[in-house]
Amino acid sequence: MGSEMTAFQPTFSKPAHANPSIQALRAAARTRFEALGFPTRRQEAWRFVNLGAVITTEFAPERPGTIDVTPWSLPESLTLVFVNGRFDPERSNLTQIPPGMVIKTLADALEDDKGVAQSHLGTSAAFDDHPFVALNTAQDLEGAFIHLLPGTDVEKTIHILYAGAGKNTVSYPRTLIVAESGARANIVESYVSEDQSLSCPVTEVAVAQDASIHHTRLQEEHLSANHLGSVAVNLGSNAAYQLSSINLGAAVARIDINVSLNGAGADASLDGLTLVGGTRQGDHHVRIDHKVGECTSTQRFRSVLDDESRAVFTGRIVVAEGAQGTDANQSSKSLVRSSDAVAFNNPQLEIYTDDVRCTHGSTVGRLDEEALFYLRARGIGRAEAEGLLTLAFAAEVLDAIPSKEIRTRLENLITTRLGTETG
Amino acid sequence: MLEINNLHVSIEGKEILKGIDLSVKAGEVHAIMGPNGSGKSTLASVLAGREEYDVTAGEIRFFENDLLDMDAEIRAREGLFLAFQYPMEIPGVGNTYFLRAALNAIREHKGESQLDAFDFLQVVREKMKLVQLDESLLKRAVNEGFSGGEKKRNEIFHMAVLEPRLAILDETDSGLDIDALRIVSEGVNSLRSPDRAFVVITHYQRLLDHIVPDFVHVLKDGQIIRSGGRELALELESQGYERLEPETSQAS
Ligand SMILES: Nc1ncnc2c1ncn2[C@@H]1O[C@H](COP(=O)(O)OP(=O)(O)OP(=O)(O)O)[C@@H](O)[C@H]1O
Ligand SMILES: [Mg+2]
Repeated sequence: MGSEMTAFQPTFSKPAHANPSIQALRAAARTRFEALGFPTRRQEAWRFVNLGAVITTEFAPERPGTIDVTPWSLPESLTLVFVNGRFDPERSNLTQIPPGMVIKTLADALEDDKGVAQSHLGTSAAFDDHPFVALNTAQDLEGAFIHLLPGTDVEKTIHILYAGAGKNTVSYPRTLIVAESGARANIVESYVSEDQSLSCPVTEVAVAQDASIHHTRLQEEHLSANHLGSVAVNLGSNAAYQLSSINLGAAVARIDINVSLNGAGADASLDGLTLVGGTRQGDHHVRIDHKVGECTSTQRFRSVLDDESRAVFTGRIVVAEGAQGTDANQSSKSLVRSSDAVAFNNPQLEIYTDDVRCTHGSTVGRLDEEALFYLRARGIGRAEAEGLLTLAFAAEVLDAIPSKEIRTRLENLITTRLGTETG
Repeated sequence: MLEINNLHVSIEGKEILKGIDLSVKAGEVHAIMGPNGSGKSTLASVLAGREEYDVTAGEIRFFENDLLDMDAEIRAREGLFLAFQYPMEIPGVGNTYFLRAALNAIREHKGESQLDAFDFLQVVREKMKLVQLDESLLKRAVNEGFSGGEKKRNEIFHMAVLEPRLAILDETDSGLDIDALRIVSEGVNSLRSPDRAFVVITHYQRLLDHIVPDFVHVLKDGQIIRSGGRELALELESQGYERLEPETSQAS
């Protein structure tokens, strides 16, 4: 695609951070983005993604805006809300922050935190090969910072909500989560919007030895929005990271997930669910690096497709030389509910050592007509019966979400929205 | 309540049912017997609304409605129930959740209020006793990992909860041990009432000792070749289908 067709020209503010290393990082990221440009479908990693709407829309950054976020808020949680990338203290709830944790805006953390934010920023999310991570890193780095001190066990859910207000706005949310040894927390990120906007978020997670993080990532952008997000995770020895990536909204949603297992005994358990209809497309692009031996990883990705939609799952497992005793499992399943929808599942294994256990399986199926008939013959209408079977298909992924509120909301959404929406 | 006239049914161009006439009135129990492949399950499936069959001729009335004009779920809500010969396993859909959704769909159709989880549990507790279904089976997914006999009992349990006006039992007795057969039969008998009818498909006279039919029909090669009282079942038991002669033709 020639650059003369490009209408979206990202702008860059002058790096305001006092810290010279952050200034240097942003400048390097900008240089890298300008060198990489927007990806084209000739690049293997972007082969299935149609970025036409992103590239040809004149998105502008961060006009102030308001949006009602109550449909997505989680009462009882520690909440940070950002609207068009800007922190919204009114809608946030930071009362009763338990001891042993820091929760604040990343901008504040980079100014006043004792070097933790600075030293971790950019260490998980590499931008060399990824234009949107580069673009995000070159921006103002506004978003959430969560730091769990050693042994801290946070009982409350931590909720970070990024909302896009207005049309043709662009935002670059940035989340940095640092869990020190033995810390535990349950963190939810929500991405929502109300119109045709673009968000390019990056979430970095560092989980130290024996720490455990559950990360629920909800992409519920407006059905005309674009979402190009990345999650990058580093795990120390015996660290555990569980992800539930729920990909519901946006016309184009691409979520890159990169997890690096750096210490023996680390465990990554990644679940994903994409629901697409209309002509929308949803893409989970996963890479797990088993850098050392004796680590386990599990991927369970599901997609449900209606109408003329498209869902992509690419799951690459890389087992480094010497990473003996690796146990890596991957399963991807698609439920295609329309003859015009297309699901792609691409398992990719790169194994440079012996003594590994790697399994992968992928299926593309339709609703079971026999089961549908059984349900209908008991009085359940077709749409509800389809909803029940779809819910059953998604159950493994939904059941792993710790928050009951989120589970219930998603279950209702699957049984009611699907089948009635036209996209 | 059910009037079947000259029903012809094909699948993939092959004619399976070749002119069935059957009239079922409220309060009656009809047994249908016949050799393997004669079309018994086909008849049951067409009544329940399975869509892959082609009805090439004939009509079916269910109360005042044209049954063939109704979707499967509407038939169920109007009070037609099929206990499947091979109940489906539906992983991920809870037995209780499913059954409450079904009951509420039927209640809504009848203009009755929806039952919440608590009210529903009361209904379930009562009906479970009827078929002596283990409570743990309620918590599992529909029929998933159920033994053959448990699946059949679960079908009767569904019937007891949904309280249909016409219940078609397709070989519910096969695969049941002697005790289960008695339990299931007692369950069915307890549901017999002047405004409910049963069509019981079976291969065995044994079941009809428990569920005593008013009429017995013999289906062979897509036609009802004999109809009679319960003594016809005894005749079949001793003589088999081979030697059973069609009745001399009746006026149609
Ligand atoms: N979906 C189908 N496709 C093709 N043929 C079918 C189909 N369903 C039924 N048939 C055929 O129709 C005939 C009648 O089958 P049906 O299941 O109704 O018999 P049945 O009387 O119930 O037998 P059984 O006593 O063994 O249960 C059989 O020859 C069967 O192979
Ligand atoms: Mg049969």
